[in-house]
Amino acid sequence: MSLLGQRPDVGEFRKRYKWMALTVVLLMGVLIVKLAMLQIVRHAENAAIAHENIVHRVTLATARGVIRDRNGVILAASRESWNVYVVPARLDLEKTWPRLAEVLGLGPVERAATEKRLRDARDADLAALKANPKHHIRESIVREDVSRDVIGSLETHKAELSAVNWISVPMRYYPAKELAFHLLGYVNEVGKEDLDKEKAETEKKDPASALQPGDRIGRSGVEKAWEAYLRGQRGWKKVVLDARGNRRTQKEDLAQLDQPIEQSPIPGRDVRLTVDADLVASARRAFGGQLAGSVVVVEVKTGRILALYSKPGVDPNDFVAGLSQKQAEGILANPLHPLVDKTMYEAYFPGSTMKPFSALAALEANTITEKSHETCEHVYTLGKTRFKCEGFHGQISLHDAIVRSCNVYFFRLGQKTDIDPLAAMAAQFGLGLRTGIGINHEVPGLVPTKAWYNQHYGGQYRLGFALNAAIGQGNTKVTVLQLALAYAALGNGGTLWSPQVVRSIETPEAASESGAIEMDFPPKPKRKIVMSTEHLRMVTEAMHGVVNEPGGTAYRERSAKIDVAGKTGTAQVSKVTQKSGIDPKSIWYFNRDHAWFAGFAPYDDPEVAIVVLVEHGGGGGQNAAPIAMRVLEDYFTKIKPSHEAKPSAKATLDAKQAPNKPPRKQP
Amino acid sequence: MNAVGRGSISARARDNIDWPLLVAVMLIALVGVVNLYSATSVSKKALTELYMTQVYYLVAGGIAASLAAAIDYRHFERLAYIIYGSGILLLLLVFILGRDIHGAARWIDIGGKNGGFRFQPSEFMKIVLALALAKYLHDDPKLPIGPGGGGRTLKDLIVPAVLAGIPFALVAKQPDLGTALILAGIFVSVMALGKMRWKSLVSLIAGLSAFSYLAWNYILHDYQKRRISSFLNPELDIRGANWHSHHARVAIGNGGFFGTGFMKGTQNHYLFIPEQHSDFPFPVFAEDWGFVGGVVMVCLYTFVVLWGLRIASQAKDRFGAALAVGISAMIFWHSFFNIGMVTGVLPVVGVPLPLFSYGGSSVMTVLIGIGLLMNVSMRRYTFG
Repeated sequence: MSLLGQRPDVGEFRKRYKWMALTVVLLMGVLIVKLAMLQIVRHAENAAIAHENIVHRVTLATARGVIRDRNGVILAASRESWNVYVVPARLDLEKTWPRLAEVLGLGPVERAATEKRLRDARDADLAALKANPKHHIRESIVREDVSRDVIGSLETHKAELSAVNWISVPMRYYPAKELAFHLLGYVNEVGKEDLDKEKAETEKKDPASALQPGDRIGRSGVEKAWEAYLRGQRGWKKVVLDARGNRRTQKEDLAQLDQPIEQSPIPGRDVRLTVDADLVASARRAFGGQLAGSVVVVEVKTGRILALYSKPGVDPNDFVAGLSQKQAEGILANPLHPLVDKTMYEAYFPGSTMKPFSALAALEANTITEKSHETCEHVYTLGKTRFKCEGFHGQISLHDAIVRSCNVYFFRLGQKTDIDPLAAMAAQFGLGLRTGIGINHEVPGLVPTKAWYNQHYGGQYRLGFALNAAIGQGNTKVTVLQLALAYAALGNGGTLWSPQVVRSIETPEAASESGAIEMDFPPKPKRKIVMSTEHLRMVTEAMHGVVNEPGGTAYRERSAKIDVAGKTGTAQVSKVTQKSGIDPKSIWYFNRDHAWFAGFAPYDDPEVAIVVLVEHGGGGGQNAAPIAMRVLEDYFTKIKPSHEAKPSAKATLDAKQAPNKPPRKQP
Repeated sequence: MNAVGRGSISARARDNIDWPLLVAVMLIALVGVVNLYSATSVSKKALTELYMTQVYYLVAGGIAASLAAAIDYRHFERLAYIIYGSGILLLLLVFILGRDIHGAARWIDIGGKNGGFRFQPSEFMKIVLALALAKYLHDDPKLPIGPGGGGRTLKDLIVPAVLAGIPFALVAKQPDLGTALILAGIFVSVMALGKMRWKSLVSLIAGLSAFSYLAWNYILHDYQKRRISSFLNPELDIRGANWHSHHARVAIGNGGFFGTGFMKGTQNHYLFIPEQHSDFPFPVFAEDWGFVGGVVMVCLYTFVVLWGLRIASQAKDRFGAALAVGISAMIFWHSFFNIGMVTGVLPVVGVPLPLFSYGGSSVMTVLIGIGLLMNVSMRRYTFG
């Protein structure tokens, strides 16, 4: 049936087939060799890349410790906040990104800026990936602190949003806003210098607890001083991401994770303050329309700070989000210096509030007695200098000189006693010295001595300096905090306490009232002041008279409910002129005297000492005393009774830890 | 020799069914379907049913192969140039009716938008070219070249070069570089049956080099050039063209010696293997089954190709021999290019792996080719 018949061509290419077969075998052999290279020789390397392709580490945020007041009122805590991330190397900038930008509601400017940033991040990652296939591609933040609604619509559009992730991160917030700004301080994002500094300091530190870009750390106040306790330690978790950047969470996906798969974050410790938030709020209320100043209330028998208030303040929440340029400029340009903690970072002439200490110094030096009198004729002349009194008191005793704040009596007292005994007594009360409160910067102020004048005035100490020192002018400067502790010592019979703002460190569960107190700080006395109790009685009786005797400088402001002893002060200020850059319209304000009131209550058995400073408030009697009275009334009639009804300060007094500086080592 | 004796062609041919070829091909097809199941199990719903469709294609291809095997190939020899002409016409039709897939028009739709039937003429062109070249050799008066004969000159190559050149140009224009390369591979392989003069060979190579230069600058598309340059310098673009082959290699390497186990390959599961059903099914297989599985597959393809050459060597006439070589070459170049590309031996060219890659036209083409091999094999004793 052959169509062509027998042909001679059968098997004609025999040799060629052999060559072809050889070629086939050789080339296929090449493939097998290559398979062996990939699967046997370089299996480990490829398996590692394969593993790193899908297993990624995500950090688990830790919760910063909560700061509470003495009664458990939350002053700083963390609220839920959502951050949106993308994986730039896997993000579809043509399709997914416009969709995401739309859902997030980015404005055109922000959108363009973010897109550029993502594009750069993607290029950088891809370049790094090129250099090293094992390079970990990173997530990049698109927007911080987006609302729950936006997260809801992200969830809805999840399918269209490949390589987009969102995570919940705790965001610091301060419910009391600017109320306790200086005491609490604030947190904000770490900068490059913080990261560099930490890198240099802690090479061997666990990377999990090391700072990372985007972290927020305490910048001032308690937030800064107790950072090591509040911060906590972040954890991490391994997750499975597919090639499109989507997270896989099925059971078989989780089986891909190698142990350990998670390191739980350690939450920061909670800090309980000695401060009573209600009392601080009361101080703010009492300040009313006064523009600037501060209040310190301290427990007389422990040195625990009950209120620390400085006006004006700033809302620390603004710092957490990051100040805008405009906000920052506004704060810095404010002539009332809202960033300055006026309880400790500014020293003032104490004025007449200094007089009790001068009196004690003179009594101890025997230069005056309870019975000795001086004559006040409004002006006292020493050499060529005329020293003025506010009034015309005539024959006047120590008691009346304090009650009616006679300067001439104290000029005479200063002249007789000279400056060094005055300075020594003031120093015993902690004036002119940092208190060591442990939060914020503290200025020491100054209580000048003869030696100081000789050093600073070219060896020209003159007796006139002692006269000014006796009435708290001249070169004497103290902080409100120092004065509060000194008045507490007057009230408690002569014990100077170290100030204490942190009552205890607690584990986060302590919030539930059943948790553990990790560290409890007992009060710490600084010294027992050397003086006769009789002398102290004379002075405090006179201070009682300031408020309760007709003619006393605070008599008109006395409280009907609380028995207060105290001293007013009206401190002259350094005059400002047009040159100082202050708006001419407000120069009158800045040239007004500072108003002081310092005292303690109740007189019979003092519990608290209070110091009020109203910057440029004018006379201390009319302007500072009413504020102090209102705060004390609030404390004794409302705040204290209401807290005693439901006691919640459960700190014990058995720990041996010092109260002021945070212990250096984290337990 | 022939147990049945002289009855009808088909009756005797049936007794001469080439079992080793049949078994090897069925084995590849079976493994291919199973692997497709694994490869697409991770994808969206639309893809997970692909393996069933592939089974339908295989059945259809089997029927087509039976037809191709049943009709005496000498009828194909007679009709070779007519078939060739029809093939060229279909390729031209692609430009008019073609559907655009991934920036290349390769498809013809027949029937409605849905439920219609579409195919790639360029796939079938591979067989058509093998037929036409076999026909040309069959009728070539210069063959056989006896001892001391001079071999072919360039002039003697003109006709077959035109036969191959027309479809090559049309396919490359689509553009479908992979298929064009396969056509070139078939041409070179079939023509290698005849000798060439040394001088002609040297000038041919020189000419081809010049052509490549021109092709690079004026003919190749950017994406094709990118793939070639990313092969020559793998670090150039890991995200773009090289991303595919990088992850394919990682997946294969991840398989190790014994593999991760069926459907347990992580790189496929987490979508790191691109085009896992079309051009990259082999990495899925090599990840699942490891070096052992990979070698078995390479050996299976090698066996089919060598067996095809054996069939050629036993063919009763020159057309059968040349056709068998052409078909074997098609299968060889397909498997070598595909596995070579996914393992990084070769640049990424879109060439399917015979019976492993999903695709109706590809499956049909390969199985018709196998049918023709069978045809030649069955009739090796027929007309002696």
